[in-house]
Amino acid sequence: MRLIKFTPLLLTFFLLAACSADPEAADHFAKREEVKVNIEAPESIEADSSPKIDVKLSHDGQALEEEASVNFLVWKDENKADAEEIPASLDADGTYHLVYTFPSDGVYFVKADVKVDNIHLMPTKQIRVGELTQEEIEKIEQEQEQKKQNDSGSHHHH
Amino acid sequence: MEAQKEPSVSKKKQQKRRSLYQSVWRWHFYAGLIIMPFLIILAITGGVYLFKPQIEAALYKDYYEVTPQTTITTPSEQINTVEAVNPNAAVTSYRPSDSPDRSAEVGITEDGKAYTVYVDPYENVILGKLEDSFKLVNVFEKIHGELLMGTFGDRVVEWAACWALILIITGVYLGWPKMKGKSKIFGVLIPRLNKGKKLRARDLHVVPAFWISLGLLFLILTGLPWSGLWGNNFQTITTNAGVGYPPSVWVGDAPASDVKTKEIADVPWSAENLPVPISTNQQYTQLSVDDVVSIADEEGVKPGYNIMIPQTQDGVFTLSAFPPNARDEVTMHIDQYTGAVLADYRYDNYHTLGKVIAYGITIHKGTEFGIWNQIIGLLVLIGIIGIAVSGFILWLSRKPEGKLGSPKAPSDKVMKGVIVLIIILGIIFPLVGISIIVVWLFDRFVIPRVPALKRFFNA
Repeated sequence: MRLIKFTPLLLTFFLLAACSADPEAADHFAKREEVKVNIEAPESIEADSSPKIDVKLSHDGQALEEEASVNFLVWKDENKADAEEIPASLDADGTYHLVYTFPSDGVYFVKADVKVDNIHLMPTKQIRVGELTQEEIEKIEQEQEQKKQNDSGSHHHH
Repeated sequence: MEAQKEPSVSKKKQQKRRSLYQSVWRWHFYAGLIIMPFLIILAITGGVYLFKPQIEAALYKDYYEVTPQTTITTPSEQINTVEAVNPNAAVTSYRPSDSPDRSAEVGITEDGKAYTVYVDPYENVILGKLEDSFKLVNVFEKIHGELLMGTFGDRVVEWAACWALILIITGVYLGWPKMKGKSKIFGVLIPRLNKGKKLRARDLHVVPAFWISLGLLFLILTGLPWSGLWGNNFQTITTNAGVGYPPSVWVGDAPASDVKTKEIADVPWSAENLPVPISTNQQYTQLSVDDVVSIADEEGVKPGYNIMIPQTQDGVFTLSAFPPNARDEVTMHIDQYTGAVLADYRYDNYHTLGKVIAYGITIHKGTEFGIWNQIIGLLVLIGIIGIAVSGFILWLSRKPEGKLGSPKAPSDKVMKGVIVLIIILGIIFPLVGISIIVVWLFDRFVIPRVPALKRFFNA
């Protein structure tokens, strides 16, 4: 009969003990090599100028030593199909940079296509050049509002 | 003295064995009567779900089949089409076509409901739209998994499945051959059909049950890992210990996309100080689905996968495939801003227990070994319904008027042995444990105090 008395205790223990996933659990499983990529651009860019736009690659917080193949795609607004393809120039200090003159004011996209070994990264950054029209500003605001809503709306999943 | 003692000892022993037999009979009976309806529901809905591929191929033929052409549109063009037709929907997933004559699927949510939109990738036209929770096989799956009652239903199914284990254990004890020699296979392995009505009713339950219980045991053990309470705990323990599935395949979180906070920080603006200094606020944009498909290609993931589109700023693209064969399973998380593969979990990356569970699930679902897997599954399901019904008939054929017909309750002392075994199950399966405590309290405190119940239960 002693066993019966302890059963509820054991049950509670089982129910409480096991419920949360360990955030470190991924350490038990195969991991991928991680190369971080960042596109760095000046905060404000004027039309007809050639701003300094760099791609920085890092591994474990250190600048990546290995040479990568980096290509840029630049397009304006939604015209991705007409994007210009520009190979990156490699500086002596190991940064890859874009040589490009933005022809007019507006919203541009710069995509860096980076290949190192079998890692393929392809970040795209939105670059705003000169003065934006009211329409363009509203569009960006709308997108930001949308993102904010999504973020607050879907935190209860999993 | 010796000679006098012997008969009384063996008589006592016999009595003890009889009592134990009766107590097991009682538990087998309680469990059987209560969970029989659930077992039948699970068997029927499982039988439908087993043939999901054939049923859906026939039902949604017009949505699935497309005519191959020389030019094909990109995934993002197809998604744009779906967005244009459903302007208030959020696109949540994309499933590329997995053969030249198969449509692509775009998952959307609208007003809190999930839909699948089927798109002809060549013509870029929408073939049809289905609400996910109303897809026929999904409804059967929902009944099978949670009786259409959400979390509560999930617990009921789990509880019934665990009690079915108790039925198998107690059933094996009850049906264990009592005769020695050759004749013991009769009544266990081969039914005795011409030895009277009573024996026939018994054998028509015991003999099929013996054969079917192996299949039933397999279905219970492979089904439990996806149950809500026991299954989740089991998966969490095995994942945390690094012996089961990698995190995020079943339990645990996916890695997060690297959000460069500076770039996505909100511009502090209000209506008064427009225009916004918006040109200083550069940000990364989400990868297009086309890029994700090309990454899948480069990573050697075969079509037949689904891409979950991130809905939050630190979410990831999750590429997942749970095809017919466990070996081909993939769960891959991709940073939504850079396209970096943050985690790539294939079958080969599962640890041993994870591999076993994965195979268990594909066999349970009837997809691992093609049509034979489905046929054997179906036979087991028919068998389960058969033993539930024959068990009920067996009870009816023995039941006296106005009573349950269980053998007289044995003393506490004899019950101990059985209780210990059942308590072990109760600890492993908490829902069983809780219900055992309820039944035991009822058996011990309610029945003896109510004369009508005492008569009814023969206690």
